Amino acid sequence: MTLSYLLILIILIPFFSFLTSFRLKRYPNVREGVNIAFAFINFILSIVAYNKFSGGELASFRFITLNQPIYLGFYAEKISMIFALMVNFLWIISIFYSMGYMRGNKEKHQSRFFAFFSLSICFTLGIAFSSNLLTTFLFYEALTLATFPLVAHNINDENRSNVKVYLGVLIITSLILFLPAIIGTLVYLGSIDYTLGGLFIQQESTNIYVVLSLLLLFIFGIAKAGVMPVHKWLPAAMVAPTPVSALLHAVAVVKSGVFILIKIVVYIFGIDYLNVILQKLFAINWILVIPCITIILASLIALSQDNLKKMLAYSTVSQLSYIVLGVLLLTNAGIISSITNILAHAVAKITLFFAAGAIYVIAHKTKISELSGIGRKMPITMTAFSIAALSMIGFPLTGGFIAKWFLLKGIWESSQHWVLFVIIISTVLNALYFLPIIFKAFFEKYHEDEDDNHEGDTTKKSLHMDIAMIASATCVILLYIYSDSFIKILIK
Amino acid sequence: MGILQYSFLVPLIVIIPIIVAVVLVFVKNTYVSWFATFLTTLVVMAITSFILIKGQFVTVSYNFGNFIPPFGIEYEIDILTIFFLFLISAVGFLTALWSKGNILSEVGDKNANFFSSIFLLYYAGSLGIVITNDLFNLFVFLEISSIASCILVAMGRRKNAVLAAFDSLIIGSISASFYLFGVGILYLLFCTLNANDLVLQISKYPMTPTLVLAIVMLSVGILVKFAIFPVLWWMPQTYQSSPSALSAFLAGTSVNIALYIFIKIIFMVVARGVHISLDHYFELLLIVAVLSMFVGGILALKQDNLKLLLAFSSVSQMGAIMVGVALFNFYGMSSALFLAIAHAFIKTGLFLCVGNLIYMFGTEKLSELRGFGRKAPFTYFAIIFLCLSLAALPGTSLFWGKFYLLMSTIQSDNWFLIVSVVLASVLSFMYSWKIISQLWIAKDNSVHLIVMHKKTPLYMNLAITIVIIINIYLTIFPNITYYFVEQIINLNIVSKG
Repeated sequence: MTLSYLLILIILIPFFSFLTSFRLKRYPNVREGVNIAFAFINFILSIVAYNKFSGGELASFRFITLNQPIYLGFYAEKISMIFALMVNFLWIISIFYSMGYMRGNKEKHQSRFFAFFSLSICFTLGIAFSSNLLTTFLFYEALTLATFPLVAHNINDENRSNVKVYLGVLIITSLILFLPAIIGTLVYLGSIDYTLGGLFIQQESTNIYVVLSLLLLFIFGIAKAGVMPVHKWLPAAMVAPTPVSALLHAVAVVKSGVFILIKIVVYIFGIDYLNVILQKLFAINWILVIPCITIILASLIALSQDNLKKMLAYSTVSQLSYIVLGVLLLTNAGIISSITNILAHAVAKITLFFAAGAIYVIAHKTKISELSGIGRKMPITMTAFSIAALSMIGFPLTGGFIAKWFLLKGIWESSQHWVLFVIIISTVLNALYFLPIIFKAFFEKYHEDEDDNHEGDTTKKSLHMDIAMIASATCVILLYIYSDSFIKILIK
Repeated sequence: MGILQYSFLVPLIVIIPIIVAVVLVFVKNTYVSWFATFLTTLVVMAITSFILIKGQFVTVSYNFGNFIPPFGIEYEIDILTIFFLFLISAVGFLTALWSKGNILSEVGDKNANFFSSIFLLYYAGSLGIVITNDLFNLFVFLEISSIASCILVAMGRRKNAVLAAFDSLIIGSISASFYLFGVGILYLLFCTLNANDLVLQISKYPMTPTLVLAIVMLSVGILVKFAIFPVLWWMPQTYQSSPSALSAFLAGTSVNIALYIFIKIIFMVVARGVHISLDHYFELLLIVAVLSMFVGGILALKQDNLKLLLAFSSVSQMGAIMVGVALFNFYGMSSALFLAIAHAFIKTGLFLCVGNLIYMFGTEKLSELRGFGRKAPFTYFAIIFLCLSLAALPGTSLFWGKFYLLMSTIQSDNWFLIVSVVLASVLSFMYSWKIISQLWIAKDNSVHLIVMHKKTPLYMNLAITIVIIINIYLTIFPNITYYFVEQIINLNIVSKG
């Protein structure tokens, strides 16, 4: 099988899973079994595809063509392959976890949940492999709509406004900023294909302000990347069940946002070109201020939150801007740090959300202040939580450390030294909001609740969730151990 | 050879429906009259698609009574004409197929044959407007269709149906008088009514205030008839109070007919003949178009009545199409044609769905229909699909038109236009989403729904399914539409202009 068809198969398998989930409404065990089977097949297929790709095979496929520059299509490329691998791997883990969570919590409409879960994965993979901006845009919007039923899963009068914010911010920014930016690029350059080395370099005469405004339109238009002030949808989406939050904040939505941003900077603008343009304009790269402000502000807001999920949401906003920052440094190390950060943050944040969900299902706690002594009751959960939290802070022996290391290297290479202070402050803030939780969980006394009398079935309930958490927490550490070989691939 | 030997088919497109319409007056059987309507529209659609496929962009014309064109009435089918003829005949066929249940529930058994008869008359009028190459004959068809639509509106047993019919009659007369006045001036100046002949005459003629007056009269007449900004109120009222079959047909065709007349008269007859620049004219047109885009969108957002909402959205879409036309460059024109064809099928489909709802639940109010999904899953999913298409999200048929529209505005470098088109697309997302969210997410109200019919008949669902298939087809094969659009623009506007 050629690589092109393999890519299409990888995108279609989650779609099959979407269809079967509805069909198998009556048989939850079969449904989830089929889901996991599909996820495994897809993971194996993406490994095969990766091997074929590194063997030098090229792939491209068009499925809807309007005329020469305007078409929808897929192609294979290094960052996409890594992204697809990550998405497929985390899909398996999330299904495991969702089984435990949804059943433990006795949620309604589980078929719908699993169906749209798969559909989101399908569209995320579509984003991963899309070969031009238009295809990206198609799957970007489709992803928003596919996650909407997930976010609105438990909709009621209280959280209706949140659901509205989620959809409104994502769709409206994409319509008023992202789409005009794409069409602007098309009109300005005559093409919107992702090209190695960038599209703009082919343009002979350049209007600096056009380039700059297009860049800004992209940064703010891709609200999924969560740069302030268009980050509002992310905390709003916390009304969703926790596996969805994990999906949104670790795998599908936010990661595809920053992934698109990386692709646009690398393959549309081109790092070298953008460097030249920005140096013409100003000595200090002022664009970096956007992610820096987001990093600091979001960390401060996270520090003030008492709701665990909300805190994690703001921590995501802040971490996303690390990735955006890495891209906008416009150095090779910066790009490497961004890609590493996508992976490191994905596994770490998914672990954190898994832990938050497990705490909710088993101990019915959502607030940080209530977590005293929870570590003794749920040791596996809190250990996984601690490992992931350390990775967030950038502690050695975790994946987060590698990402931070390359980010610092990127800052050094780009000689924007003032950014170092931002990183230091932010690291301190990260430590300030994560370490107290770990301390509280392990070293304070547990308060017995009055509704704590169903001890018997908690172990059974948490089995699926525990497996998922152990797997993802292991990945956090594995990412550190195998970082060497991984970085080598990226540098090539 | 080829298509030219089939030129006898050309007048049949109009004549068959008219003859059947007359016969139907004497047929008292509901089923027979519906079946005759269905068959007629099917035959007409077969003829148009035959010419479309066989035609190969050759112009086919037919002279009535063998009078040679400047003196006799000429029917002419070129690529622009066949594009619109096919569109109108297809929409007519779908509504006719669907209409039986609707006639029973909204018109009544007693008037069923009259409804079918006048529906066919209206159908013939719409096709005649497109097919004729004679400006006065066009006026005749305009009158036929406007009077026929008034009768049809009045047949709906709604509270304000008669009032709405009267309104649209008045508006129709006003616009027709403007149009007739313009045609009269042209006839005074050039002594001809044939469009092709007129082009030749005008190109030799200097620009005089009289000619300008003629252009203004013609455009005002057309714009009033088709609800561009200041005079838009009558149209939603008409849509709302008429039986759903008519609303669907109106929604699908009236925008296209307007676009057709506009392209034909203003651009092909006047703009390419006159040698002065029409910049001010286009600027004015742009402002009016942008205003109707916004007014339509904002008013659509406020509606609770599904039919009114869709009607105001038609006003807004009409504005978007007019923006494309008024930009008068390749992308603008093609965006107008793309939007017109996609919008026709989406709107028709949506009105058919609303008709389904009225058939089943006897109401079209969003607030009463909340959470009806379980009771009518087919209509429910059809509405969601069509609403997403109406929102012009990527991966739907309307998106290609919106994409081209944005492209042409960005190319024109007019910031005011870029911003307004972008904001209008947000508005269109908002009102489309309003329908989805009311039906799906808002609190379930369906306990109070009175179920009149448990299921819609198969043919109703079949019509909606065909609409959806056409929409998917337009989405997946935009290159085919693009091929047509390119030919139309190259053959008719760029080369002769």
